[in-house]
Amino acid sequence: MAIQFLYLLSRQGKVRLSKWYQTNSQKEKAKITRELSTLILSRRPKMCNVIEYRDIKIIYKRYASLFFIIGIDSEDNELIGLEIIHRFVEQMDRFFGNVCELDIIFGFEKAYHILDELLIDGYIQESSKKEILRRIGQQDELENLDEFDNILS
Amino acid sequence: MASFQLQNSEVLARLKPFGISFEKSLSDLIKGIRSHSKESPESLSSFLDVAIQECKNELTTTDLETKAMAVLKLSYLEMYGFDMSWCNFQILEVMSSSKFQQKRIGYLAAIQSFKNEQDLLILTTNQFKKDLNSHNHVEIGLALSGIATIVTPNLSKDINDDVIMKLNHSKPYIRKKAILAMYKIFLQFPESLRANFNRIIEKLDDTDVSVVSATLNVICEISKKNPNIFINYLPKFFSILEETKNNWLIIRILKLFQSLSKVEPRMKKKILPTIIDLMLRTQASSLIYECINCIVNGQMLSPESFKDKETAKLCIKQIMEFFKTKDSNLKFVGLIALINVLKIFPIFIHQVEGVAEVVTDCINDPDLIIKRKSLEICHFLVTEDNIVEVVKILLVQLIPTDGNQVPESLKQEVMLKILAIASQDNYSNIPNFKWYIAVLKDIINLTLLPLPSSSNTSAISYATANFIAGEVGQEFKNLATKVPSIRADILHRVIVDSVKNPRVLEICPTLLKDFYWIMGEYIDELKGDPVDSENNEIEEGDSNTSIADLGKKVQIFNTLVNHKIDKSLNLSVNLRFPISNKLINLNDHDVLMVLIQALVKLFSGIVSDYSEYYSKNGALPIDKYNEVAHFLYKLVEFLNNWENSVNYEVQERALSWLEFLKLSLEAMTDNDYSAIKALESDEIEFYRNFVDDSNENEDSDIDESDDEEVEDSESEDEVDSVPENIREHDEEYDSLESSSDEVESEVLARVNVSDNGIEENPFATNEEEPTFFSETNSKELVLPVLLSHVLPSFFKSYQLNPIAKNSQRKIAVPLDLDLDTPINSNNYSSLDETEEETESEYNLFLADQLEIIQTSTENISNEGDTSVRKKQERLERLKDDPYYLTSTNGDKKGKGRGRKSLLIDDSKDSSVDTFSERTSISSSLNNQTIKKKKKPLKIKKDKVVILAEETIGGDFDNEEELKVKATTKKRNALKIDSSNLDNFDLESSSLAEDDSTFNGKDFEYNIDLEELRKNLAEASKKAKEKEEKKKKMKKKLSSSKESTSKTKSKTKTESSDVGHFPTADDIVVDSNLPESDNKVVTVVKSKKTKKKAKAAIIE
Repeated sequence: MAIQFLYLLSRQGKVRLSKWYQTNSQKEKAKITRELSTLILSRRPKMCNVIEYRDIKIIYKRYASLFFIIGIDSEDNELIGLEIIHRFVEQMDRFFGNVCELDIIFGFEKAYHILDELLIDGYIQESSKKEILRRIGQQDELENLDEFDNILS
Repeated sequence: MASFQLQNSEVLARLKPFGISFEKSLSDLIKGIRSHSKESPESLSSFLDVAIQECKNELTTTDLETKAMAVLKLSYLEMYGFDMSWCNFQILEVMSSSKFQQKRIGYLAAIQSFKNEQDLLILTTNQFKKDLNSHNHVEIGLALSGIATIVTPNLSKDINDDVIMKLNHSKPYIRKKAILAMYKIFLQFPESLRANFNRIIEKLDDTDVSVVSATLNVICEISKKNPNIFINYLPKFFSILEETKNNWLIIRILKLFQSLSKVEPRMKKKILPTIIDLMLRTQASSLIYECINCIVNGQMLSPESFKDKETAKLCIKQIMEFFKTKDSNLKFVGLIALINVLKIFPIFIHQVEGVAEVVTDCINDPDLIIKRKSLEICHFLVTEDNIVEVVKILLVQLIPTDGNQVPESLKQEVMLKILAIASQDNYSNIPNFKWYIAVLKDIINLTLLPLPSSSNTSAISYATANFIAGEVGQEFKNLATKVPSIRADILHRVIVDSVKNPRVLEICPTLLKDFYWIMGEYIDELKGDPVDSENNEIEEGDSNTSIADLGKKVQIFNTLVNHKIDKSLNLSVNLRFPISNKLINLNDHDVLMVLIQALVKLFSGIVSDYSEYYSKNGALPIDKYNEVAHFLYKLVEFLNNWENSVNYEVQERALSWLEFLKLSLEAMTDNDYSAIKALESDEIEFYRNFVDDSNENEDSDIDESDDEEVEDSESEDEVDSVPENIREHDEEYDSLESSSDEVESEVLARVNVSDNGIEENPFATNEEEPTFFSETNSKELVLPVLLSHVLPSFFKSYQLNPIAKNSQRKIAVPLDLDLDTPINSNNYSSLDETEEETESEYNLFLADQLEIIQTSTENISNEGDTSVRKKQERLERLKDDPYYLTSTNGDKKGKGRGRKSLLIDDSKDSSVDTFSERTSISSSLNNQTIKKKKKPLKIKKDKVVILAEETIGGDFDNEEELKVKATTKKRNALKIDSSNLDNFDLESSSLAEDDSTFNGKDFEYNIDLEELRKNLAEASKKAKEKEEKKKKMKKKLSSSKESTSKTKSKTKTESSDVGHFPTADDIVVDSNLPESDNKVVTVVKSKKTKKKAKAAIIE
């Protein structure tokens, strides 16, 4: 189950988060993003969430105003792809508390951190829901300690 | 100091009053972008430019906090497509910060931005090492995440040991990350897998389930490339599967089994019951789906086995549950699973209840993705009984629904599918070919020729139109050749209309390429009117149908050829012959090529009709004779247009026909065109009147359709007129005697032509008095042999039979065929030769000159040039020149002998034998009729002869398959690059397979292991060699050197089968086999594999 890339797309077609797990030139990335955006934004809600694109599969899912889009190998389990997206959303929801698009825009680095704990270079590293947030909490604590040091010094 | 986090806004607020923060914070940037993007794109881009410039400035400061801030901002901007690799060194600086906050930003930016930057990675390596050995496990985790993303071959070599150490870290969090990072290292540095294989396997016994899960993840990924090395651990995987309740883990194991089962079919017996049990027990549809995938893709189903059939049925039952949920995603994955099962058991589409309905439902699905997928299997749906319905459903897909256009690609797919369905098993499912023709016409109307009235249908793109036209045209061609009984139908219902419809030419000339061909080839089938009597608009007596056919041919001919008429009528709009005019300017050379051939065939058809209907004792009455001459004249005129075509093939065809036709024309008229001119002016006059009439009748607003109507009415006139005249003629002719002397009659004819020709008009309407002919048509002329015999012989000598694809390639090259030696070795002088006259004296004189040329160019010393010798030489040169007829007896003999020997050789030749076999087969097949078994309700099945394709020998597909295999290897930019592992693993595994099949032993455990060891040893050897090569010399090795080193290494591997490569032993620790037994075998094998390995390296 290798995820090739993940990105978040607003309904207006703006990228809100993008993560590429393989080396692509900026130009190539932009091209893929553009092509997929037009494809996905034109799809209607009741349609299926899997698109065959080049020789990979694109799984997307809409949560509120955001499309979560991942690319997976064609032989991978599409339902698991959906599950991963859901897991990511769930984690963010817990972390931010009722997550909305603005949370992700302003707290984008937090979103990245959560993603990095969920996936490591495209592979699921943690399927436990609690574990990820615990790790993020730990890291934030460490950060805040630094912050505290800053203020004190 | 600035802080940038929302969560720390309080801290930030407290600091602000001290005026410490000068830089724009991240939230300022984001807010700025948001406000500017509302204004205009220009202001946004200028704002972003400023922001990036600010970041650049901030990066130059010494303050790490500011730098981290700038890096964070840049990684936000990276989302907007700005490259940030230019600040990689600053990122590295931030990474190395002692503060975790900054380090975290550094790593985040590094993961987003670092891409294979070699110089940078030397520095990164140290940073990674430092962080990996940090006392804080959070930092270690951060480093491992970074390594997994950034890893390169060099980095992986350097960092390998440090990561391995982390596999035994006390915290499962680190162990889990380490093992996943190891996979990335394996990809870049396969050597490590060999060395650390056991460490990975060990992790399967880890106490923490997430570590086990991660390990299985890694194993699963590796097994996709090389399943063989994990087969021994099957029991281990199996026990994990039975113990765990974690669906993520179970799915991963199933994925692993899927890869393993492909190389170890015997495991099916053990795991299949468990999988089925799992599938039936679980509620999670993702797991059910994975179970089905595992069973189907793991090749656990064989079409023969009864047990497997039951399993497949069970799977289909589960899949059917997916469709009941109405969830489109489940529908999609269900469809995919269904497709996979049905590919193995196509019969289930009808045997299991509901499957056919589901597939039909999917074809009708508004979601294009599901629709497309279902098209893949709709051909399984087709039986003799329901083909009409299935095709109807497919056709409906071409109709745009409520304003939604049908995408062009879908049009193509649907079209191809319909053709595929119909032509399945050599058209055996088609109930009625008239129906099929109607379907094909529908396809054309729905795709290529949308009705001009329906405005919402936009014109199809040129490429797609061409593609569809090519395919449909091909299909018509196939039908015409394969189904003799339908030819007349095709001609009447499709070809004639299309050829006479200027829109077809406008929109997709490609379609006409095949249509012209059919028209030309089967013009003689244009007999009678197969259209049912109720549709029959042209009411005629039976006796006249044959002559009506001639009228049709003439009409088509005129439609194509008469462009000059418009010119002489000075028409610029409302052309009488729009098609002919367009053809002249047509730029589609492929079509023109066919058109030229087809026109000549059409003309040939007209000529033969004339001689059939009007000739008396082989001679034509003078007026008919002149008509033929007129047609010929028009054809010559028309073909003249391409005399100078830029396209070689068009020019060539036009010219070669022109030569022949001009010759025929000469033979017919003897350069006296008066009769033709007369006919021509008559014709022009006729159309002038016609145009005037139509203008009067229909005012100025005559559009295309009206024009067509006019044409139609005109055609009726024509058709009506011709036969009536002819009937009269026939009566007259009966009483007439044909003149015996051809020459006399010809002379007489020429005299008469000038008188009679003026009044004569083939297109004259009924006003023409029939009595007129009785006086004038007393003369009859015989058509020249060129037209009456030679021309038809071009086209009708052999019957055209369908031939299977590629069968031509199977025809053996005749043994006596020598393509190397030139036929005419004296080619160089042919130019001079043509200038040369045949007179001998002149020849003598020229011979000197010729000699000079020869000697100067070829340096042939020519001594003793006597005229006799020259003559002989000349004869020698001319022997093979087709423009010279040799008169000497000796030559004739030689030729005769040559031909004879050719014949003898032919009969000996095997290819000819097979050919005769072929024809006999085909002729027997010709007689074979397709028998109907059931009577379909709607459309009666016709008894139709369908010609089978001729083939030679058996499996002609092989070559194609090979080709397909060769082309399937494609590179994909999106795929994670695992080519390293790919090469390394695939090679060894494929070799193992080769050998095992070679020895006739199917995947015996011990053999496998032995070979595995062997292969791994070799692979490691190779890898080492490669490295050495890299170090020592630059890439290019002379092949001789390589081969010697190869032989050396070969002996090494043989001698050090076990001892020399501990790595190989490590991997197969579990095995304790008698090695001496196998050794003999393996030595032989290694020779073989070595050869292959060499080839791989050279590649």
